[in-house]
Amino acid sequence: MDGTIFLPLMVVIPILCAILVNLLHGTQTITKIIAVIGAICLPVVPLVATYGNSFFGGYAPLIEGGFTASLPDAVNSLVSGTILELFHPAITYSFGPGQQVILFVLGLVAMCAIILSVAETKKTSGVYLYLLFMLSAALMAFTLTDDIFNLYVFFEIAALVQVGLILVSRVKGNYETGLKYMLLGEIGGSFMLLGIGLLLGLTGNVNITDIVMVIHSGAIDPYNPVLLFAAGMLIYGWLYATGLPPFNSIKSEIYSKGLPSGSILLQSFSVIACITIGLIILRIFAYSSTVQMVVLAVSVLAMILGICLAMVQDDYKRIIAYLAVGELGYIGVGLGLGSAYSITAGLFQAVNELMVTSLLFVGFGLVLYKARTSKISKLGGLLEYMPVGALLTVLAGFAMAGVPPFNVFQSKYMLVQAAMVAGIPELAVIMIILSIVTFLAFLRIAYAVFLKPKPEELEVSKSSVPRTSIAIMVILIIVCLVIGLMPDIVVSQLGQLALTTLAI
Amino acid sequence: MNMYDRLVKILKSTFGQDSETTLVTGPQTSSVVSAEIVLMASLLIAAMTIRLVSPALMVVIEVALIIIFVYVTPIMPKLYKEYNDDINSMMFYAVIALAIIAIIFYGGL
Repeated sequence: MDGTIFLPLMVVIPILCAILVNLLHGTQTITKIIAVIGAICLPVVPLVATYGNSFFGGYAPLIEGGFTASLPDAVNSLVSGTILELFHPAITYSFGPGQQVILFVLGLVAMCAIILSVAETKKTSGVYLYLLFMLSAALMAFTLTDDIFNLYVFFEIAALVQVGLILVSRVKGNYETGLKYMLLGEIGGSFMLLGIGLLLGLTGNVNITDIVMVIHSGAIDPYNPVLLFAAGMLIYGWLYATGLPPFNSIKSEIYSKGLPSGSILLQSFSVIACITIGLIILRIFAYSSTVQMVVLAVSVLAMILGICLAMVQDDYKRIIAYLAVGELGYIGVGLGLGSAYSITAGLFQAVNELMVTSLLFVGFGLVLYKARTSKISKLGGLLEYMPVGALLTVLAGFAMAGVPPFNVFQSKYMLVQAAMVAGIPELAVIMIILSIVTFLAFLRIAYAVFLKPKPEELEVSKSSVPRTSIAIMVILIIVCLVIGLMPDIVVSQLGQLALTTLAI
Repeated sequence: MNMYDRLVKILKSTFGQDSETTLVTGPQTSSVVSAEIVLMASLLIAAMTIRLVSPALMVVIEVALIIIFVYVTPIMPKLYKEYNDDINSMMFYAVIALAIIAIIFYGGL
């Protein structure tokens, strides 16, 4: 059997599950069974799929023999031997070793979020599960698609679903946050669409490979102001999707308004958008030093602002949210440095952040479950009430700060090396300083939440910590540890994606 | 009034409604001081990368940053206030960023 049949299934399965859980939400048991089966499929399907391309609504490029009907001689003579033979008339999904790693980890994280959602609620909400599955489907499509307009469609779906996840969370102030996110999305999304439209107008294509081919074949001037303006608009859309400055404030707010399971996928959107849109920008505009400089500048600013602002917050959800935004800056630095090694390091950091930030959202979800408050000034002494949860949460914090032997240590080490090799040691110094400060931020939370004497007015729930959350944390910690000890299993695959990105 | 007392006074007015009754804990003050130092150090180091464009410009910007830091310290409480959840400030910065990006790229730099 041709394993590429699984490529569309990576998107179709979560969409089908989303529809089914929404339709059958009145039947609790069936909804839970469908949700769990669908969730397990998410990391499994990328593992069984074979590398290759899948074509929707069209055929493979003529040069690959995709069009079997015979063309009239006049048409053949016009097309034969020209660039037209190489064009992709269909919406193309590409699946290689790099995508496999990213999709597996994304599937694992989405599976954890869905199972957590099923386990944490007595009455399963079909609508909430629908939103989780739809966001998973959008993220899978994001990673697979080689079509920039198809990416935009899933970008908009993901934006709406994110607002939905905030609206159903019942956290205080969620409606206002959802509305603000939509309003800012109108700005970010619209200008990204403008960039895509300009690219289509100039190159006549929405397939990314074809756009790169047209630009590098000399059909249009690479320094055409309209083309560079399109680059600017794509970068602006990237900033919005990722939550880099000036959108870091709203991103941190939406993370803090979601339920733990929702926040996991909300941050996954930021990470996946950061690498997918970032790689598209690099593929198309790798020749422009301005693009690289802007990406680097914004990423460094995001790191500095995110981590410094995390230090002054009193709400641990906001601290995690700002740190997550700051960590995205590391990914941006990897992409912005523009070498195969640095891009690999950036992708590795992204894969690691997907897991580590999820771990933190689950861990601090447990704190919220026990104490019903996220203000660290009102917390204390929780180590006595949740020793295993506290240990796992602290380990997750250490992982994010880049403490060996966890995975983030390896990716941050690679990023530092990449900065040194690129001849910008200043970036390496900044990354090291900010990793130390991230560690400090976690020590502060760990002290305030677990070690400080319990305030008299704090009421701690007597019910035991949910075992599902602990199990999910243990699984993710083990995966982080394994990748930290054997980074080559991931890095070698991501390296191939980085090389493909830079190949013209 | 020494620097520490001045900082605590500013923190009280930043984190509480009433600067007389608001309690600012030691860890909170330490965190803000750490963030303040990290912000200044990181920006100064980041500005050194401007040497790749022009060493003279780097010197000018470094000196300008030092002068700014001397006059506007402490920065973190101001930044904390600025990074509130107000839609107006979010929109303002979104539009400013759009304008900067449009100018940089449409200028064909």
